[in-house]
Amino acid sequence: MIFLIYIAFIFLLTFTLAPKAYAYLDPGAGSYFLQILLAALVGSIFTIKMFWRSIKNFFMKPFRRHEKRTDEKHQNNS
Amino acid sequence: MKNTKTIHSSFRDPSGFLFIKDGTIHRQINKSYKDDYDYLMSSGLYESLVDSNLLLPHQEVCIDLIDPEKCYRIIKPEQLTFISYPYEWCFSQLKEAALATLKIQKQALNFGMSLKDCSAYNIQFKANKAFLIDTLSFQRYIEDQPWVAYRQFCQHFLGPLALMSYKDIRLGQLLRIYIDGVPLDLVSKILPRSSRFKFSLLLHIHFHANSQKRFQDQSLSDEVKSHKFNKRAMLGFVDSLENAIKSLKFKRQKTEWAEYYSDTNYTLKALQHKKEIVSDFLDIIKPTQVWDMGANVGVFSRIASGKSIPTIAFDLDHAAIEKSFADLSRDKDNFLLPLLMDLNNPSPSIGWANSERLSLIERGPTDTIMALALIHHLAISNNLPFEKIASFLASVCNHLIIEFIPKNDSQVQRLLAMREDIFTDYTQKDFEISFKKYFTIEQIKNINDSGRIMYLMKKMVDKKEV
Repeated sequence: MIFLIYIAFIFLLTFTLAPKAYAYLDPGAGSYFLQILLAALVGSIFTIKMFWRSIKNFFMKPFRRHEKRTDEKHQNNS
Repeated sequence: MKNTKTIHSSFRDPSGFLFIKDGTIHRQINKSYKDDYDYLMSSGLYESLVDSNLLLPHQEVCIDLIDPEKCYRIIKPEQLTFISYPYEWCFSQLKEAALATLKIQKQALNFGMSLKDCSAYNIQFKANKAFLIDTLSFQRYIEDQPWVAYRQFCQHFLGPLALMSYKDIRLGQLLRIYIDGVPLDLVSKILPRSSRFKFSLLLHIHFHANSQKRFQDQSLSDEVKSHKFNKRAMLGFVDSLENAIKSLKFKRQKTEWAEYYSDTNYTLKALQHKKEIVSDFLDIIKPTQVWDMGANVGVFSRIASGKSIPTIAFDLDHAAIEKSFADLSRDKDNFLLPLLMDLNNPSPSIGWANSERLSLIERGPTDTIMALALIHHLAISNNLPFEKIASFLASVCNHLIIEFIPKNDSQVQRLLAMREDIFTDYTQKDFEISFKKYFTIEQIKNINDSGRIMYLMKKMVDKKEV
């Protein structure tokens, strides 16, 4: 899987864009390009992660409330 | 202007600069940074970061201006007793600094701002908490633009941490050579192949290094620049970097020094008595700051920090500093800062004109130095004559608490076990003669149940040379 991603990355890096040569050297050009190239992938992973977290939180809510009440009881007893 | 000088570490950023006036550090904010500064202060971001202990608080002040043409505001940040550098931090300190930087970026994005630089030199430590000292690091977030500080973050934090975690803890010292962070092509070359199977490192180190190499001699076309980089992508990158940093672990190794107190020749009685002597000496001096040289895991440094004295525990052993830093949270010690330092080769001044980052000596002098169980390592392991040691210590402190270890001590004998004893001058008498050239001896105390001797010394006023 990682190998396929690597091949795809090299392909994109080599063929998708035609950078202008002989221009002023930008030391951050590679970093800028990488972010543009992977924006959709990284952004999607983040969205899925947040979505999954909200689902998890929704289902965990009743348990958390129960835990909170138990904690409060313990505190009151002590 | 009288009693005013600029600080050489802040020349890169056109938004302002640091200067010292009457011994106090101030920061000029230039008119060019007016909009961003006003937004930082009015958006709630400043309060939010200060409340979270992530940003050094400041006050706006009215004083004579160095550069009135450009000046918008002068601020006086909360003063710090010591500035430490990333190559003086252990793995967990660098990791803490990286995570604090990402937390700051996330909060900044919530308030419509973004970090415009991610230099590790912008982070300092108070207790075990990392916080940002550069108020000018923020700019208004521009939708659709990638993160300008991404490269710097990877070079200053992710790369060195990955090398320390995957290869060797000593590779953190590359930060001392590369002032703008370790080049990613070098990180990529040194890291083992297995690091390519970790998605976050494959992305932020290996692909990143390839991409930098590809565009080394070229600029990006307008077509590339026109591509959108929305906020979701920005948050995704920050989140991905955070996961990458969190996944890197310090690999514990048994070292000579981290195990020192379990291997030492001290009896419990002697150790207890030595602690009492150190405490008594500190009560006599009442120092404003202590540097404990060769502090190991900071057992004696904690006596000073326990008295609310800002204390720095220097040691060359990474595992010892790592342990000392880890213990800070447990002990809730707000006055101790453990740092890596090889006393035989202390941090030099580096950067532009050798004045961007200061040497250890330039960051002194400190009020009091503790040099406990250290003299034999300097004199015998490093062949340093007593006078050179005394001369150096006199250049960086006003008071000295020093322990003399006699030659018949088992620790000295261990150092001499594999070499010829050429140290005929290693005697208590010669030690005192050499140190009396620079210090007056105020007190001498023998440690019970041990042949070791503790001295309290005060620097003579006219002795400053190294």
